[in-house]
Amino acid sequence: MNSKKFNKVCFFLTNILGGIFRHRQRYLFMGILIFVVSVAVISSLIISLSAKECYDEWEKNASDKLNEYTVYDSGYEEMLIQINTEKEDYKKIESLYHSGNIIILSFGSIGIVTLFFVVKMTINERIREIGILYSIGMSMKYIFMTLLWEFTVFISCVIFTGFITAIFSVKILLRTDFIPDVINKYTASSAGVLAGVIAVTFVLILVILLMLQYKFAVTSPVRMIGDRK
Amino acid sequence: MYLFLNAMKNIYRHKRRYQISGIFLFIVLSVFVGTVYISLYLYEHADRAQNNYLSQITLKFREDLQWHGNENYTEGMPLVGAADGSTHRFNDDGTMSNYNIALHVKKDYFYRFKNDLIEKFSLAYYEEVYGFFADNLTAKSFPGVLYGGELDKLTMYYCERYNIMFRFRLCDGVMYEKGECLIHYLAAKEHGYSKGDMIKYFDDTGKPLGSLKISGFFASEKYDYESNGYIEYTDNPERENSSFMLGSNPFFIQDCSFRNLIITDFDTAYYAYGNDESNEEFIQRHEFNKYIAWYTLNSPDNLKVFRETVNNIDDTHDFYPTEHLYHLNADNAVGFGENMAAAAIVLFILLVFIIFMLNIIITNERKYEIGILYSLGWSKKAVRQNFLYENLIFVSGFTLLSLLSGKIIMNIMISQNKYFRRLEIIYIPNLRFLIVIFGIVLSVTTLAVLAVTKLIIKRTPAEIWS
Repeated sequence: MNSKKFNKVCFFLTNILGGIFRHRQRYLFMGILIFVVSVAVISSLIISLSAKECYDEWEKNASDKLNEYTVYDSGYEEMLIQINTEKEDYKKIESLYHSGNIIILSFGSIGIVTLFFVVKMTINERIREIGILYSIGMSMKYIFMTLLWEFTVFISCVIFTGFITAIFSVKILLRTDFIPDVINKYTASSAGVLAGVIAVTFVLILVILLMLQYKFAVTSPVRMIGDRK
Repeated sequence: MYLFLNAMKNIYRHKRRYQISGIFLFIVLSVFVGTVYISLYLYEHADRAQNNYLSQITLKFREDLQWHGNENYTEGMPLVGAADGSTHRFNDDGTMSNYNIALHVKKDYFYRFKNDLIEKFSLAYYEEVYGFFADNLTAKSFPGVLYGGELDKLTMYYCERYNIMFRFRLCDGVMYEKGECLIHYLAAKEHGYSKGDMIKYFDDTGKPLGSLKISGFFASEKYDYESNGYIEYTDNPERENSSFMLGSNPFFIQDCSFRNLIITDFDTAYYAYGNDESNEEFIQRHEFNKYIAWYTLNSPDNLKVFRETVNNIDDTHDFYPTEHLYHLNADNAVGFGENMAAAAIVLFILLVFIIFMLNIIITNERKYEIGILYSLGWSKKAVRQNFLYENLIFVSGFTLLSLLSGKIIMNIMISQNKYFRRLEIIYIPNLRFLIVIFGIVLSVTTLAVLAVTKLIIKRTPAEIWS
């Protein structure tokens, strides 16, 4: 990377971090909101997905065992006893498995709506700033990229913090009777949850910004500046 | 009035800001209300299922008949479930020497009655046998039975698949009390019995056991008075005489997904009672601890034939009416409802937080406006009231909309779930619940606006602007 390009990248990064710092008060409130929502969403996702994974595996194992034996085989009865005993442990997981989709849908929709709100609200409050930047010659592409990475860096950091907190929350929940401990070994899938949540966030920010870019492209900077009440 | 008009004007002026916030609030509240509706609905569903199901159980044994030969049983021991099918025999003199026994499910244990595993794998295992039905009253013969044909094959299939017995419905009269009984309405019709008549019953040796007063009549579905009988596997000539007695269907014996199960079958009860054996002796002699579903079938070949027969039945056939789902899903409904209730509690906390933050964010974004108003000479109280009314009007509008749309959200959510998609939505939103939610939302809004305006107003206009 030559020095010119390096300087450009540095300037870009500084601009992003500067933007976050400049709007720290706004980002503070937004950050708290995203953090709390992300803890709830990620915890519920981890629990529901782990329950699904756990129950699927157990169901497959039980099914395989049943297929291995016939009623006349020795050990058939023991196998039935074992499955029935395990079944009691898996009863709660089973109900989590069945209600998992709805829980994911509920929390997922709240998470997405919150992100949408935060991004849209923040841009809405900064239309004047965008208009000024546009009018002093900054390209819309540059403004777009700055906003995109500003949001992505900020929101990803908050979500990651939320994720760490969610992991701890799940660990605490697993110690209670509310969620069976057997789920514990399946929480490894939580890394996938984090990746999924951040990917969804990124796509969402991208979609919102693309929509806005289209809107800004047909709006004059004068109007953008004057539009802000 | 001035403040109210001012608030309305401000909402219009900041329409874009309120639009975004309103949509956000609307969706969050709708999801929350939908989740609460679902959990309430599931509990109601389970409750209805229980009542519906129990109201259809018409034959219940008197304790003195029920626990014959059971040394371990004591009064109050949980009777979880028991099932059997049997038949009637009306003697020439009009007495009935046997009668149907359906099942006995103690209400407290209803929810444990079925679960998916049993349904899926059609396996069963009894954990503890405390006693037997007084099924011996059915005697040892099956006279005058009819062939069930396809219906019984299906019945057997579902019996195996769901490990379930048939439902009985009280169609006339009342549930029996001690010393009373119910008889099948067709039997009553055929033999001219009416409510209040007495029937005598005997054991298989012809020894009179007592008499019962008819308190009402029952009907059964898929397992009618006439449909008791044998199934012959006539497709296999060598098996022409092998039979499977539906009336004492051993499949019924295995409803053992829970502890403290009391089960019986024709032979079981007969031997337990007639030969006065203890349970243990009986169990040993009959190797009752094996998978008894197969024990009346003579060989693995028969089992194979049976399996082939039932496997050919269309799996997707909707054999049972919707009510049956209540029964099957009641257990799930409770677990499901508990999860949804837990989710609703978390969502409620989240909702309170979101509304709080939302109001703080909206008001904070307008701190410069507060500074201007303050510098123009508005009193702190007026500024606070202005923002409070504005936010209250905005929040109440969207909250009302959300509460109304909660039911739609619930429908969407339920339609996403394979277990509940076929069920009728029966829950009607409770007005008190809606008022409470509305009140909470308004309180949180008030608190948030007052808190944030107080913090802003504490500073001078110059400080606010800087």
